[in-house]
Amino acid sequence: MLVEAVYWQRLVERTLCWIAVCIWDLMMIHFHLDHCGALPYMSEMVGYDGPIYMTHPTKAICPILLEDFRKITVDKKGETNFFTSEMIKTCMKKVKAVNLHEVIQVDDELEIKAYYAGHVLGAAMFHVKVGQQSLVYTGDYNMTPDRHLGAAWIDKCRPDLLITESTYATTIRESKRCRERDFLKKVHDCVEKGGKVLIPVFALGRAQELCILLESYWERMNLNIPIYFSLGLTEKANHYYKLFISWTSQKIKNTFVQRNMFEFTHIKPFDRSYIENPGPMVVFATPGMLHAGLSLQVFKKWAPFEQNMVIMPGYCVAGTVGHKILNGAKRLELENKQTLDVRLSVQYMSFSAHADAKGIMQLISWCEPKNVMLVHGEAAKMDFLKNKIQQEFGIDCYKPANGETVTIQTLHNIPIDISLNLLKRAASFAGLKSPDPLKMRVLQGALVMRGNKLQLMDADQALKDVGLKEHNLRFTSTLYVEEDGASEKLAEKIYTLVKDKIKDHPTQYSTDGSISVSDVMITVSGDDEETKSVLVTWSHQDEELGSELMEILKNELPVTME
Amino acid sequence: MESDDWFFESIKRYKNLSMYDLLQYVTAMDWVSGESLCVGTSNGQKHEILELTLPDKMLADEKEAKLKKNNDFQVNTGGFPEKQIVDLKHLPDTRFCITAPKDSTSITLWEMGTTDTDLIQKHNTVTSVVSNNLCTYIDVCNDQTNKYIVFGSTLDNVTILDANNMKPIGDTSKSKDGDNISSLYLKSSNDVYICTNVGDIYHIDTRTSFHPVICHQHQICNKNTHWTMDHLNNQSNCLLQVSSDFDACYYDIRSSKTYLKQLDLYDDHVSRTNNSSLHVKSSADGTKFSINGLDGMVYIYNTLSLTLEDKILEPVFIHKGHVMNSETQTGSLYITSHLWHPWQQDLIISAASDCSLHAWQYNL
Repeated sequence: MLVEAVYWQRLVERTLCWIAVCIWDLMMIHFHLDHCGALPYMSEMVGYDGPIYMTHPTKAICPILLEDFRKITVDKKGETNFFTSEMIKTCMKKVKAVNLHEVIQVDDELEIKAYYAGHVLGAAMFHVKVGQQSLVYTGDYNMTPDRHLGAAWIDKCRPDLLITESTYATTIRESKRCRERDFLKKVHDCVEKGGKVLIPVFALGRAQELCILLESYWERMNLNIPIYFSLGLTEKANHYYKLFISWTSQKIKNTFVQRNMFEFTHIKPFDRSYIENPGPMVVFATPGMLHAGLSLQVFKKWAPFEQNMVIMPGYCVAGTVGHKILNGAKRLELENKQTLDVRLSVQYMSFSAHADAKGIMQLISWCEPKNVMLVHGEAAKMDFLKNKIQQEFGIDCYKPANGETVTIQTLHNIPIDISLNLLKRAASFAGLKSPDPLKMRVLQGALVMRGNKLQLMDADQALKDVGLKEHNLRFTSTLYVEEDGASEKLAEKIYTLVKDKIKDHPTQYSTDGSISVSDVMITVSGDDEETKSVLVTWSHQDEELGSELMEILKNELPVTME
Repeated sequence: MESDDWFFESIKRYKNLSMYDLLQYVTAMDWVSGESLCVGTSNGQKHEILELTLPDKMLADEKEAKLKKNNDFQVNTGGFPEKQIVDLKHLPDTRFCITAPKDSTSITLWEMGTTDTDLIQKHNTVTSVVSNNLCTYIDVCNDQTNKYIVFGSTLDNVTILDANNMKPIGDTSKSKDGDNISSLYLKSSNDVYICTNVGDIYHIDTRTSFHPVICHQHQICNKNTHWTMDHLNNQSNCLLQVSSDFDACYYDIRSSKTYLKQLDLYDDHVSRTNNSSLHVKSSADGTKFSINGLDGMVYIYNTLSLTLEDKILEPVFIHKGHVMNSETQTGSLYITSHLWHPWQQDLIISAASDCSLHAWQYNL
């Protein structure tokens, strides 16, 4: 659900004034107005003065859309208390552009990294890491490649938390091919009846894609109805594509290398004089919201005729002609107080791609988060997805309400060095030539801290390094057993008992009558007619075994309290 | 390229065409209302039951459709059955549906979400008196006063339930016949029609007894031939049968008259009949019938032609969309299920084994 940037600005005004100081840095997901529309307001009017990060294409495109937005809102809607052109420029000077997969150290703890999100040119998902903890915020992304943009991609970064919108999570998106088919059908049906089709476009992305599509179809169907594009489109598009070729799909990269982007057989540059030409035609013209320029000029001429058509390919800001006609307006008041009857067919065609149910599951499987958080949805509509994620991936999934705090436990790994000798010795015990990092093993050693560095090393070496002597702790306990006969007889009984009960430690009976279970010693003393003393002694390392033996002896022998 | 040719030609051949990819393939589906349908899906190990809302554009007329933005299905509610669903029916005018799991002769009643949750949750399960591991089929009917459910997998384990309390009102456990069933038709609380695998049609009149009585029998030419059945919409006394040998049979219940025809298929038809996926469906107005399960296509025929002289019926339309857009090998792809929309003219939803789901309105 798109939120008008003006509304959002008011929301920002109410909330950000007191939280601006708490925001450490700002990452701009992409250039759509629902994401960047209040940026100059926040930086120039509210007072946010932290760093602002965005990808290079977003930095290039944002100011254009912000200026358009400002013009429409101030000039057409008469809004006051709005950011100025100067503020947009000042704001953009503060922006730091980032490359994909580049690790940006914001401060000594916080680092961020942008990943390709598809969706629109320059869109990114951000990976944010503070110390050991990390999260990924997706924004809008698309998992299916289209003709001019690749699909989103992320590596197995295993964040503690993945935050993704659930708005489209329950959507099963129509295939791109069908949307294209729909577009071709509309255009063909109109021109077949002698009508003219106007397609207002932004300079980037979709125009190129639709031109390629229409060219293929015209070729296949052997049509000779003229198709035009406005020159302004090509200049801007070519300029931006040269700058941002790495952001486009492989197909576009190949096309760009092979030929000029706008060299088509059936599509020619448009001249204003063609507006009055009789007969069917198709025209791509800027700007996309019909708020000014060539597209508006063409629209004014063609609108009164029923056989014509306008195909609006995206979102239009309130106040624009595009917005009005998409809401069904049949009569428009123009600037010179003249009215315009809108009789042509108005069609809506969205090519903007978002991830759907399938895409979200795929993203989770790629980045392997430890937890997922769903935002931007209704609580009662997120149980199924939450359960699906939990069942499929075995991870917790949260769907907090607005204002609700979620506490997520994260595992904090402490990285330590390990001495090579200790590592080699441990590997040799396991029968390995060299240590295998994939096999978990328990190592025993001394953890030594020097400054901020931690190292696990052999206990003897650690003692030597610090000049300490090792102390041995030994425990001794005596049990008194009521048993007649020679002490050797009791010793034999104890030996048999222990050998039977303790299977994973070697038990030996020495010639001097003592019993050893690994390093635990048991000796029996006492005269034939007297209570026998059973002495059990063990070092602190054998505490577990020593205690176990004591329990066995207490349970199995007639022990007295004496 | 063939698929590109098909794509461009589809602009004229279809009024509307929408294609979707699910995460799992559909194993069964039924309408909840004209605006939504319930589907059972599976990937072999995990299974789901989903209520999908149709896109606005699909149901709008031509004038309204142009400004409709929504071309996507929405998952309205969803649940997690333990086993793959082989048959599914919605209980009319309720938020409940009934499913039959694989390898079991029980059925489960599910509640499709509430105001507090979008989870489809189990309500209760009913097992037939005679159990076996065969596929169970279901039908429901909405009598004037009450709703009924019939389910069964063989002639001797058909059970009829009162849907209000899910209690049985009768069953065929005393029958000596144990033939496998392929489809059920609950015409009313008094009449059940059963089609067996070999194409025999049985009738149960619950007012007299719960014993299935044979009313039509095919001559068995091939013991591996599998038959399935549906009733003609708008003509509840007429039954349609189709076999895996491409035979079609029209049976009039009142007169017991039958018309048997051979179905013509696509020239390069690759036969890969999956018996459990063989379905015949009638259009909402009964003028057309359609078949899936013989391969990766849906075939549409005129119902009227069943009663005419011609021995071989030509399809009036073949939907090749699943084959033309699939990455799966053509020979291994098959249509798992399809439905005609209850009122939108010529709108069909079809699903295939490659997890694709299509919604299309053809032009004749």
